[in-house]
Amino acid sequence: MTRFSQRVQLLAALILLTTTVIVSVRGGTSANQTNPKSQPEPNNKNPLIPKGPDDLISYSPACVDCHGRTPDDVKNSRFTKDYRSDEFVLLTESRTWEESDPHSRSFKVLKEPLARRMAEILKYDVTKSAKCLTCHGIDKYAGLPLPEGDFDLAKRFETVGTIDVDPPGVTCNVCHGLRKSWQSEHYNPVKGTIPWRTLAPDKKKEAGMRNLRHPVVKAQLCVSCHVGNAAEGKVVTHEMYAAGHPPLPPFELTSYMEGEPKHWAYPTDPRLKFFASVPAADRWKLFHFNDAKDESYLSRNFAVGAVVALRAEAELLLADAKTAENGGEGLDFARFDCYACHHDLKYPSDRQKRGYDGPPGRPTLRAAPGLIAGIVAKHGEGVETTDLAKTATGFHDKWIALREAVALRKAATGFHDKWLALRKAATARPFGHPTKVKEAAMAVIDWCDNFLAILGNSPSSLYTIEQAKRLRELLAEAATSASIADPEAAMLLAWGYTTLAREAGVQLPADRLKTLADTVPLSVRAEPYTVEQKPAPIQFGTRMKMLSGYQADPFRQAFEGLLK
Amino acid sequence: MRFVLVISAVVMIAVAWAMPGQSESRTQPQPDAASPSPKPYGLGQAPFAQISSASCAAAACHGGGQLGAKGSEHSTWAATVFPEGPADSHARAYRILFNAESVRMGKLLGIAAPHKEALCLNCHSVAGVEPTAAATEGTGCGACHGPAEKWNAAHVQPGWHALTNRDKWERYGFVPTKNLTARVLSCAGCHVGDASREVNHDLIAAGHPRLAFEYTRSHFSPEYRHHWKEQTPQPDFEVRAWAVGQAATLRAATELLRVRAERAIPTQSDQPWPEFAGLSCFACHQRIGNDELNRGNATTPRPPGIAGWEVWSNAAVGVAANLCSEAFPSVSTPNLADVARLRELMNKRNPDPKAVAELASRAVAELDTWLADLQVAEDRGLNTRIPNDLTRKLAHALAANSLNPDRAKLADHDWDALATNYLGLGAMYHAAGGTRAVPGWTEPIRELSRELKFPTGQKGERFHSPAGFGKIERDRVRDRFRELFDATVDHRGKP
Repeated sequence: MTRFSQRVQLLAALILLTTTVIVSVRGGTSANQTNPKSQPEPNNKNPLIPKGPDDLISYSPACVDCHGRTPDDVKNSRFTKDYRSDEFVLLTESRTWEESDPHSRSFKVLKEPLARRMAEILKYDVTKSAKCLTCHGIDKYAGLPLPEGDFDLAKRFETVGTIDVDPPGVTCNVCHGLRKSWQSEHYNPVKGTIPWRTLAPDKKKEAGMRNLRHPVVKAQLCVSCHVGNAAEGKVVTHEMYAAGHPPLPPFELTSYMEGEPKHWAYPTDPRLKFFASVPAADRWKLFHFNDAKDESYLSRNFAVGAVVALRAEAELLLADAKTAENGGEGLDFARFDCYACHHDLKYPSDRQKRGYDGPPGRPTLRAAPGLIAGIVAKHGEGVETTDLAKTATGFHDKWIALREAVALRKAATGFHDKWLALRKAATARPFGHPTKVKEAAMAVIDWCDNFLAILGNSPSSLYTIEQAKRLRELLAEAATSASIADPEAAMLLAWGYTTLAREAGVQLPADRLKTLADTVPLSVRAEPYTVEQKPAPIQFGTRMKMLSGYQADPFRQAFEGLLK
Repeated sequence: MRFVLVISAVVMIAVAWAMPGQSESRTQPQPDAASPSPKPYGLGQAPFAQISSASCAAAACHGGGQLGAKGSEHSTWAATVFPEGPADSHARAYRILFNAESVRMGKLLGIAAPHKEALCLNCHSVAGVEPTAAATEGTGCGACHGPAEKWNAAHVQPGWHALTNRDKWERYGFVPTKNLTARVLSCAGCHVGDASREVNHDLIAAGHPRLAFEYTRSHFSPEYRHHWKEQTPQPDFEVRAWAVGQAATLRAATELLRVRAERAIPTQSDQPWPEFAGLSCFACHQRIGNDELNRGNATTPRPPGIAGWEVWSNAAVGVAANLCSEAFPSVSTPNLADVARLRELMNKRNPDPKAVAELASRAVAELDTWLADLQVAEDRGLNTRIPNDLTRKLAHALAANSLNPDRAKLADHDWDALATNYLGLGAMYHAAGGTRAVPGWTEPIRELSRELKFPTGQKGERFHSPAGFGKIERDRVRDRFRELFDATVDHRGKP
């Protein structure tokens, strides 16, 4: 870089710092905005919600026709031949999902011994209760939308009734969109091409297809089950855990993306030549990615995932706090750190030696969601404005990149205090002071929304190669500078670091990974499964041992070993 | 030097200023005329001034210097006179506030000096004793026998013995501890707690041992040095003491729940609610997931994921209630319907404090009626011996109480429930005369004791919870209760 262009950037940064005070930063970022504040949309206005039973596609053989090919057979597809569809999608999606994706088993597990025992203890039929089916078998009652907003079970039952055969669980449509409206349109050829591919995401959404290429949309969908969403009736309660529900692994988007047998490919994947041909100016607008040399695809997803997961956790707390204010039971035990209570008591006691956050004897919130969101925030606060402008070409783009960098820094600040306030509100009384929790949760949600407004909408490369490196360094620092007492937090650090390091091509020696894997599992699912091997049923004992057998010091030492 | 004097003057003024307030906050004796339900005497703390135990310790009064002899009550109680052998830990209650664990507790709770803190001194000394230096004697005479302002002079006057127990309490503030009901209610003031004397979960988390009171276990503890001789012979004494203990402990726990619920009613209240110290400790404090199926052959009367309210003092109270008419002639089986409703209401993770306070108040009234009956029966003189067979009957009922009707599973697998049933069985075994009288009970009782004992860690840590107590251990406990069930049928094979 020449000294002249450095000066230009510096000057631009100065001008920008002044202008941002006056101009709303988020005002004109992108035409294609996703504003998390607006979720959930009212059902009658949300184009993703079927208008009625007739407007719904269930698990459909129609998907399999095109998307269920063997890898060898892809080239024989009519769409490969005529429209080079293999350069846009894999065409093996349904097969991968059916053979090796645990989502395909999500209803079947409700009939296994663990679930049967749960049903016995909970005294309700887990294959029929909405409490279970909202996540486990959304297709059991076809005719029903993936519940969003006001979830009305009675209506679901009434409209359609049951299907005798086992539903296949979390199917294509559960994630991609339940409405019929986009089904034929998405492969309709017009004059030798398929216009759907380059249709603006807003238009696709209007037709009923969920824009899963968008990191915020994707993460929000995942966390609705994998963290929980009270408005959609998807909450794993302490009652369910006590009856035997396996613990939900902590949520980290990129580890989940990497851990699931991929029926998709990232737009940066060289196999999908189509994306390389998308003009640079349209890459973010249409498919929400930047060139791999400019931006780390997974780092951006990591940051979004961390903030969306925290937001979901705060929403659950908010929902519980509101019920408490209205005389309900309030904060569920499941919102708290399991091991704050679930430990044997002994003298001398490590906890008494270590001291307590607030008054002794109050359960604390789960630490993990705040930890990685905190790292993302710390990273955002320290983003080098000039670094972000390096990848942009032309004065206009550079100016935008600088503006985004300043906005990112601004939005990232204040996280620590807000998270601390929420933790304090949760210990003001043994299970949280409803009003204080509500206010503190709203402040955290606001912070998340402001931060996501930039992460989700900025077309600039925010996680440049250098910034991605810094993010990994911050993760490594968190894992090694102090003992991580919480097993879930340790897992997130290990998962996040190794996933991002692999994307960056950092060498992770196998023996050192093995040492780390002895302290925390390095994959989301402890139960082995591969593309060739169908997913094994969850082994409850194994999963619990991951948590109860965790020790802080060996983890830190193993992580240090990995960095050497 | 002058500086020190000024400081002590300030402290004394402050203490003097604080004193009246303290005595006002004490619970009044409650001969409540408006209330239809009778109340036992000896509830709470009498509103009179405490005096130092030193005034009891004169050689001609209770300081005779003969270990265990009549007239040597204070000498026997005080650890300093006979330092060898078992002692009365009440005499050490103050000194313990200086040990490392107490100091660390203080630090965690933001208490600079536990030995100056009312929260601690209300039980670890005689609350409000004059002069304040007397607090250093620990839980002295007045703590259990009542503040002696009025009765100190009166109790050596000729007319004293002619007074009724109720008079001694209501007029003089004397706790007639010969009456078991008055005695155990007095113990429960600290050992369970009340509005001004409370070990909550914050304290326990900071290091205070949990409270788990069972009167006969404390009474017959080999580490406890009695400064009196019990007049009632065995097994009558222990059977009655166990039954009264069940009623009095639950009464204190229920009243404490009411107090805590009242405090939590205002929506902006910062008071802990639910108060974990009133819930079953090891429902939560256990390592989870050690067993694929942790429940084993056991059930719980509560919904999944709910820690039971006062399982410790509820688990065996039904047995005491059903059979108390045999131990106390003229006492009929008490009505404990509101107590049962309260247990049900508390089967929520965050029950409405207002509803709890109301129901707990009614439950306390039920328990008071029962306790007043027991108390009157005792005061009438229990010349009638208990039926020969009653220890066996009670033991059988306790064994049955710990199992489901089909005896295939434990009725409640919570450790507190198991321990409470075991302690009741232990009391009956001891009262009946032990292994010489009932040899068939010995093995299962000893096995139960081993199974329920808290283990010692590999590095010598003292566990304060049943670490590693899982499915296999629960099944063994169930088998021991079954053995006791079979061993306690009568010669015709009947309960």
